[in-house]
Amino acid sequence: MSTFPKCVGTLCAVALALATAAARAGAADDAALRLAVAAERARAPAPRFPRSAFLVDRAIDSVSLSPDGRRLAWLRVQDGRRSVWLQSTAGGAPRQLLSQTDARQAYWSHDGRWLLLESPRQLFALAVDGQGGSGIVSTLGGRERREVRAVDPLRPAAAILLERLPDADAQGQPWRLLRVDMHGERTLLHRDAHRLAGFAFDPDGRLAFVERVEGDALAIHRVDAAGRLHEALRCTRLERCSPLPVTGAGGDLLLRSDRDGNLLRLARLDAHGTLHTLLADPAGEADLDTLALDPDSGQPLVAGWRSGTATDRGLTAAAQRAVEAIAQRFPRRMLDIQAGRGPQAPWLVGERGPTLQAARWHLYDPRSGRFRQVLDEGLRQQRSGKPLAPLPESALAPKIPVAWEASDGMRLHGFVLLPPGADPATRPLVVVPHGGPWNHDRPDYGSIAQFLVNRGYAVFQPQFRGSTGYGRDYVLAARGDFGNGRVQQDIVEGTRYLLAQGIGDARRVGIAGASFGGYATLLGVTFEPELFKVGVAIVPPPDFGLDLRWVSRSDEALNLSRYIPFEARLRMMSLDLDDVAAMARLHAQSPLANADRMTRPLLLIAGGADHRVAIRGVLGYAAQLKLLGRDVSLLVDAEAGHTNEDPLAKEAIFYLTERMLQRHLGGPAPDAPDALLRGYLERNLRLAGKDLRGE
Amino acid sequence: MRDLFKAELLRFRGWAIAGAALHLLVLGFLARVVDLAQQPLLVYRVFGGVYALAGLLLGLYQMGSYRRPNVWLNLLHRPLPDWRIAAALLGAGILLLAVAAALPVLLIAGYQAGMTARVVDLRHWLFPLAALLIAACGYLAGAFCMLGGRRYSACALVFLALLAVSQATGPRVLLLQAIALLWLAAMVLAAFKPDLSAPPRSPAATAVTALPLQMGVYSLMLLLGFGMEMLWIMQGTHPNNTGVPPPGGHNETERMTPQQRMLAGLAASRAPQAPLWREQVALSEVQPIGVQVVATPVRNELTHAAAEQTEFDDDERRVRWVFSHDRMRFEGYRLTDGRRAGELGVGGGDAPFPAPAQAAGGLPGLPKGDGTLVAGNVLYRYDGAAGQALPRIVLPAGEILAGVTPVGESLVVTSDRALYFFDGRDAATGDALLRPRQRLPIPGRSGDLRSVELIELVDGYLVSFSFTSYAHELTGATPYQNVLWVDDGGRVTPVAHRAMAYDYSAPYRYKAWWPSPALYALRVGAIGLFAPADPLQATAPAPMPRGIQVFAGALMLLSLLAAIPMSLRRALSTPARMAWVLACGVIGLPALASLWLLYPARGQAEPQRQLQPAAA
Repeated sequence: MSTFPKCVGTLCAVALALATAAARAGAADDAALRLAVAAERARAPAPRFPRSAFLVDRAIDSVSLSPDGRRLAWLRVQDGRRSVWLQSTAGGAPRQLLSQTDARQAYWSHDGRWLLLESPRQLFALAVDGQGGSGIVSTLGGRERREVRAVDPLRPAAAILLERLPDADAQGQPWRLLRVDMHGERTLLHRDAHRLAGFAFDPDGRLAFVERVEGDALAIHRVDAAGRLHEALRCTRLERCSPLPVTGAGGDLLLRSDRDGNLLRLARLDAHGTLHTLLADPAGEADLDTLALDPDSGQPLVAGWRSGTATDRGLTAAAQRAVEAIAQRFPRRMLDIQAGRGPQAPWLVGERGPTLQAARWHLYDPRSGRFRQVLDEGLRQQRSGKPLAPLPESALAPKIPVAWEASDGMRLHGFVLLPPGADPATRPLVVVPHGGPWNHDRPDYGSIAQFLVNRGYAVFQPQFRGSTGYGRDYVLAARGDFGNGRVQQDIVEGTRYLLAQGIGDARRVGIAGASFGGYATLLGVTFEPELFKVGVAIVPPPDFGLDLRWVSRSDEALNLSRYIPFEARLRMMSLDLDDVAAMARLHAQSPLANADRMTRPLLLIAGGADHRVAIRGVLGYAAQLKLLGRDVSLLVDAEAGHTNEDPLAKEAIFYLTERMLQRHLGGPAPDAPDALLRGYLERNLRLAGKDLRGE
Repeated sequence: MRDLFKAELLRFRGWAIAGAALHLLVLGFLARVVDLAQQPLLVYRVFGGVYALAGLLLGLYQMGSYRRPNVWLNLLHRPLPDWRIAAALLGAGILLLAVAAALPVLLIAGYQAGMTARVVDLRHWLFPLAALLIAACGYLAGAFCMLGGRRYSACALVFLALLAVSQATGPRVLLLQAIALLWLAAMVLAAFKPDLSAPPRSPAATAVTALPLQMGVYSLMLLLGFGMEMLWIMQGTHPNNTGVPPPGGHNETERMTPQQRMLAGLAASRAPQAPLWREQVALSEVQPIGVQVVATPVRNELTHAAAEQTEFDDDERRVRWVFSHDRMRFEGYRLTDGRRAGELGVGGGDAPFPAPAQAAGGLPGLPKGDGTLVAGNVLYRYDGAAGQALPRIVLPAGEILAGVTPVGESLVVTSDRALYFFDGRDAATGDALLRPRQRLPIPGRSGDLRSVELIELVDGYLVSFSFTSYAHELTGATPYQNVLWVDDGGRVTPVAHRAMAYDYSAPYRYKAWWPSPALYALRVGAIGLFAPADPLQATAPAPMPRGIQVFAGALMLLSLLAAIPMSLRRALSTPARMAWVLACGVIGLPALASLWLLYPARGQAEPQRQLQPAAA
């Protein structure tokens, strides 16, 4: 009698165990979801807020705690004008330091005597201790593409710059790492023929490691006393390796890395080139996201994960105690923690979350454990600029993490937002895939999702494979199948999973998204018209492969891929632009090549100056649909880029989306547009479908 | 002779000194406000016009004061040949003009060269000479107007018109001005005879006078035509200013928006994609493709049509860069204090540009203060921080780079022969030469090209070319529009050809030719004398209609036939009569009119003064 070999039996046993574990995890996911849904259903319904309540800007930006913890600096934004403010953490009134600045970020020098203001054009040092000498530290950008890489983590007052010399002046080594003091005096730290991606100093301030881009790989080199390089670590195939600016004990390099693993974690590289994990996601699901450093030593202090449920963890016992106290005070929040120097100094805690329309800032005293709220400047309406109180948390929807098993067995993630106090099974469902695709939704406030929820729609934000934040395998699992393939299947299956869980009315499902989310929207209404009854696609590439090729020829490719060349990066993601067959397949599965299959009402919104999605593609696609007699509307803002910062344009997007969904999913009718908004629509609406014509 | 010369100098010295002072004052004021060496062509034309007018007035006044018969006889009644008397008067006049017109220009050039950091090239040192030659031409024209026969003496003005419209460049302009001056001098000498009302005496004098006279008549005919056209415009039925342009004509196309033009082109297409493209054009903002170089600059040219492009400001560093034809580099001076700020050439070594360079504006993504420069077939990036001009785009040798237009994420470069499409990546920040992704030959001649517009397609570009620039006259091509598709791989596919109707009848279009084909040829030759051919202005003239040729031939024959009886009624020798009849046959109506103007009919001739015995 023949018997099965033992190895087959072992394999079967392992498979069974995995399947059992997956089923158990799935059951737990379902149970957690049911609990969360029930909690939402039990809440009081939210009143309906005007559109303008969701179209708001934060009045303060770039809040920064001085290293000694005695002062706070921030940028205040009012009527598009930015000013620089300072306040003592001991109390007292805020003081305006500069009435106008073009800075986008403000941060402190290591000694806390200078406030550095970084704009796209320059780095400006503001003397805040009365020492004088305020002025431009360095110009930024320009032909050298000079950029600030960090505040010098050890020197009292310096910054680290990276630049690329023009070929004519480079003598074969165009990449330069520089230290620049507050008076603009430069010191060359390292020059290289290869693009520099990272660096680390030893505690004495000597350059100990540099990271270079070598072909398609990132190579970390140890720098010896003579300045010679010795390779210590090589990260290939999109492995992420980012050195922290100061080495750890014994001169070991500290870095964020997913090398030899899947999730991005905090790691240590020892002298023998062995990588040791210091800290990874306790839940084993998410990439390391934030890392607060000790302002004195530059060593990591608090790590944070933001992909699903926001979690933080201290790296020392004292830090962990502080983190626990903060987390207890602000549960389920996304925290932005900045520590002061030494045990006496207060910490700054930024508090954000899906139901917090405006971030809140608190000072935490680690000695007393007390919290004090600071910087309560609220919000401003985008169009009027008027101050506005944030919407009450009780009226906003939390982001409920969901996980489901794809048809190929992969566990996928997402968020769902439900109108409070409603039976989710009766609510129309709007699927909102994120852009990117190499990006992810965070457990943070999002205006469009909260707006739709306020209008009675359940909102699903799928983190389809290819999304970031869940490890490198999650990103690479897409295998370049971005047509009507595996990635789109994730979105469809996630939607069906939610419907099966009693979330959303299967007869009233729509899909809306921007950028890659817009592309997914087009795929959805093209290939799944029975599921998706209406689509709103904002800045959508109708042919992903074509758009990638277009981007690769533009300056945007340099912005999208800072280190590994754009084409190489795509190739490693199984999107080889030179692979004729792969590109042909992407095209064959694109909405552009299948326009005749698109039969659902569709709204397209595009920017005439979009550097990421070719307007030519959107127009060509709209022209095809028009020729085919489809119900399509097209709004093109000729001045707009990939994101439209014009408040009027933002309101137009909200209004048109609401109107389209109302007509086809049965939501409430939108408030009538005012004269200015009507004017904007008249100017920019190039095609008006039945819904916008009022037929 | 010397006394007469001195007397004339003394007679007008006050005027000359006052004129020079006023001239210097005006130039001095302007030199404080602007760089007089870098002004647009119009400014120099105004100055040239003033110099010519000043000379003209001097010539009219000076010779007018001698023209009365008794004064004239008194002037000539000296123990000197007529030509020496003329030389004394004319020499004095020209010397006075040198003081009033040329000397102040010379002083201002010296001021700019010695006391400022502005560019003063060799060509600028020729300005005083040009001023003198123009003023002297005006002066001699004025003298002839006063001394020549009243019926025809205004013909000398054609030389002033020639100076205004000549296309000659560089020092050769001076040669043309000198030729005009010598011809005018010959005319004045021919007229400098005891009987001012008598026709020219010798065959040479006749030829010297008759040719400008025939050109003058020809010009007058054109002016009459122009006057009639003004009346036509006032009437409101001229195709250029009717409320609705004639349907199907080139005016209609020129008045269309770029989008309408492209749709009109596509309407004539039978391409299978045409319906889709029409929809896309209707949804798109059609991008016009412009040029920055309207006329090819020539080294050492005295003036340039777009002189403002020979300099540019680096607002970031507050430096003005001015192109020096001597150095073939840009010379800089600070806008804050006017001090010299160095030199800008090609690359790190500041090598000279291979051709005169012009500023061509900025490009998206360039740092503030940076811009582009065009020289010949090369586009340079001006890098303000490095103080260098770096070649970024090099077109094939022999082509003229006329402009660069950002289109989406690409750059479209226009030459006299083709459009080139470059990827925008690295265009603003890199150093290397860019390679074109596509080349689209222009389906016609650059001079005829009135407008180019395009839209970006999913696969390539749809480009419309309209050739209507000179459809209203004989030098232009038959108006037409071509729409081409260049795909991503660079393959060019004709999409549509649309022939347009003429808005003007053939007699209107050929109005410069049929009155006298010979004089038209002379006019073209004179205007183009010493002028290099500009590839950007090249046209492909449409074949001349047979009817126009027949009409012109008929006019020539008519002139010949009319010249026979007319010449018989003039006091002409037989060879002269035959020459005139032949000239009327070859030259046409202007020659016939010249014959009539130059020689009064016997019956109309002034009666010879008869000495009558005094009454006792």
